[in-house]
Amino acid sequence: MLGSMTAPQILLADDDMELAYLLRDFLDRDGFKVHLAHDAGQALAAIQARPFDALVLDVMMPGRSGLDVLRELRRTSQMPVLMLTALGEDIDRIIGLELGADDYIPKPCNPRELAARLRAVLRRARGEGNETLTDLANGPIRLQAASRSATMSGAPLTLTATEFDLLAMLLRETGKVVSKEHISQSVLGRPLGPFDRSIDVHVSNLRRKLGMAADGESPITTIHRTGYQMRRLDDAV
Amino acid sequence: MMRRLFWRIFAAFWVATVALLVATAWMSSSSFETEKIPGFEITRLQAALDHNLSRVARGLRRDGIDKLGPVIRQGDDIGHFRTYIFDEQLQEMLGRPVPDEVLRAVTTVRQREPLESDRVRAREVRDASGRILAVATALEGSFLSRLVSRRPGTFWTSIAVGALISALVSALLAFYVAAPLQRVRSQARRFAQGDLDARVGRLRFGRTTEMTALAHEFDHMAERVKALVDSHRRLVRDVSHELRSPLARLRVALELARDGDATQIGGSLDRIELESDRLEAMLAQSLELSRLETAEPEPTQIIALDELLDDVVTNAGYEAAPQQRTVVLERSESIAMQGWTEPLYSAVENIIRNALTYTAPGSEVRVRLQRGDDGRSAVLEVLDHGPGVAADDLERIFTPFYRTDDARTRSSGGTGLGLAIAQRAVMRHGGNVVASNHDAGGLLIRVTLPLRQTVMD
Repeated sequence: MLGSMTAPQILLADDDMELAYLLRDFLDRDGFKVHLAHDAGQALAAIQARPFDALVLDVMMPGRSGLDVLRELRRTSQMPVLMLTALGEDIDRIIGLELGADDYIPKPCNPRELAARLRAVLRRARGEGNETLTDLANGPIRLQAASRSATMSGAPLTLTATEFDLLAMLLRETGKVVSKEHISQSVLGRPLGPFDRSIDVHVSNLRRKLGMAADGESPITTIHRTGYQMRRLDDAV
Repeated sequence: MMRRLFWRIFAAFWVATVALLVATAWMSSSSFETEKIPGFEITRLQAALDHNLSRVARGLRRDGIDKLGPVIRQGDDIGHFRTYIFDEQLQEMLGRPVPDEVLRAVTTVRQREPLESDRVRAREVRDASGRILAVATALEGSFLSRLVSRRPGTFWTSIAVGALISALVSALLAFYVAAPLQRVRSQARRFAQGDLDARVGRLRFGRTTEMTALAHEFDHMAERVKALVDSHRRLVRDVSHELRSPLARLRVALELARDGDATQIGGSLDRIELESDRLEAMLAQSLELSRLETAEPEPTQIIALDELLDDVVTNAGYEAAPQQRTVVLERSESIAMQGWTEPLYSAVENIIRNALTYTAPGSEVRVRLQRGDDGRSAVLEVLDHGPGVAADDLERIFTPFYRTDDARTRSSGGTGLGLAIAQRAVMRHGGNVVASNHDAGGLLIRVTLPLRQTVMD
């Protein structure tokens, strides 16, 4: 297949082997190259052995859970992570996002939906769809489009692809209120679901990484029931 | 509610004790009027009347009617003893109306005849001037007025004090009964409102045997209901969770079939069929487990265990044959027991099928049925030639949906409910199931069933 040379390399970590084989068949046909891991140990070993474009991670695994893998992984790598979470286990979902997962999909999932979200995550990681991105700045926050990197008061920020896109979007709209629906659509590439707290968790992660502005407040303000706003900051270092 | 119950019990006690008080007063006064003093021919009343008579007679002798008259008149107002004085013509000397009973008594005395009246005493008296007068003293008024007026101060005080004491005692008694009832009742209400942790616990007041027993019964019931509800909740949660795995696979297979080529479609359809079967088995077994935990008791039957075992071994062996796995019935004694056929069959079947699933391909599962050493139980042993189970997991394999890590990754195709169903069924027959690793490898499951019927609910 022509695409096989450039097919994204995906690591799928799921303890349900039968499901993993089926998903591999499906995703392979959809233009991905899927490698399998059946527990936390195998997944971490595989990641160390070679780079992957994205990780699809089942949260519920016997022994060490998917969340353990994520925690371990985020110490060294910002590779895109898509979590498979059990329906109703909101806590897993929130913890996963807080630990730096890029998105989640509830299980049992529609495999086409999984493929679509996977593509969205990969696009974000490559900065696709952001070709028009220019360097942005707001006070001490600076964003370099070419290197897909950002600094706060000169210090480099370690951001996941999702957090980078979120920051870019807020910076572009500095001073304006951006709704959660808009953020979800343009950053995650999907509409905001009911009871969906993904955006809040991503924003909270970004806030933590940005730290406080010179006035002791976070650069990002929450506009209750509406969305978020990047405050216009002074150029003070 | 507590108030109302308290006041009702209080009122009942109080009214009862006050009535008792009045009755006692009546009885003592009645004995005063009718019972003869031991050793004498007269009652206390008659003695008191006589005493009064002699006092009046003494007064008459000493002072005469003119001086005594006002004193006697005064006595009319307060007492219920009334004294009349008659002259020779039987005229009342103080001019008061005379009851017939008194007149009769005086006439009788005048005629020197014995006096019969209980409540009137009369005698003749010679006064200071030497006239022969007649004096009569009578107990007058109705029973109640006599009762009340006998010793007015004392009577009312003693009734008041008695009523007060009885009010205190009644209040205490009422509280003693109402407080624990109220406690049981409030806990019952909490329980009904969904707080399954509501318990009466140790009663602080009114710890009577009956009340304590009631409290215990309630707590026991609450414990049992909570356990049942909890296990059902857990089962529902676990089932809905477990249903996801086959559903997830089914969905992927569906997508694969959607745009696949002919061979892919065939494989996917097989997969869809397999997952549907799994879903069905899981639902059926969940229902069976739920039924075993709550089922209403049905009449037991006499079951020939050896015949039942024969059936299971034949069927299971036939199905396992394609995988080169066999069941060997090493020993089977003829044993009959009281029980329920279906649960028992299902228990034996699940254990043997489980063994067949895990025994190595080409190996055999060995089954023995014999009487226990005590002769009062049946012992069924099933030994496979599989990998066995980690020591820590030996007890947990009987919990619903518990799978060892090994079983999980091998995706053995079981529903995770078979052994749980077997255990519940055996427990309903008063028996137990124990899993252990055999010295020579493989898992040994030993079922002990009591032959004397001690069915647990």
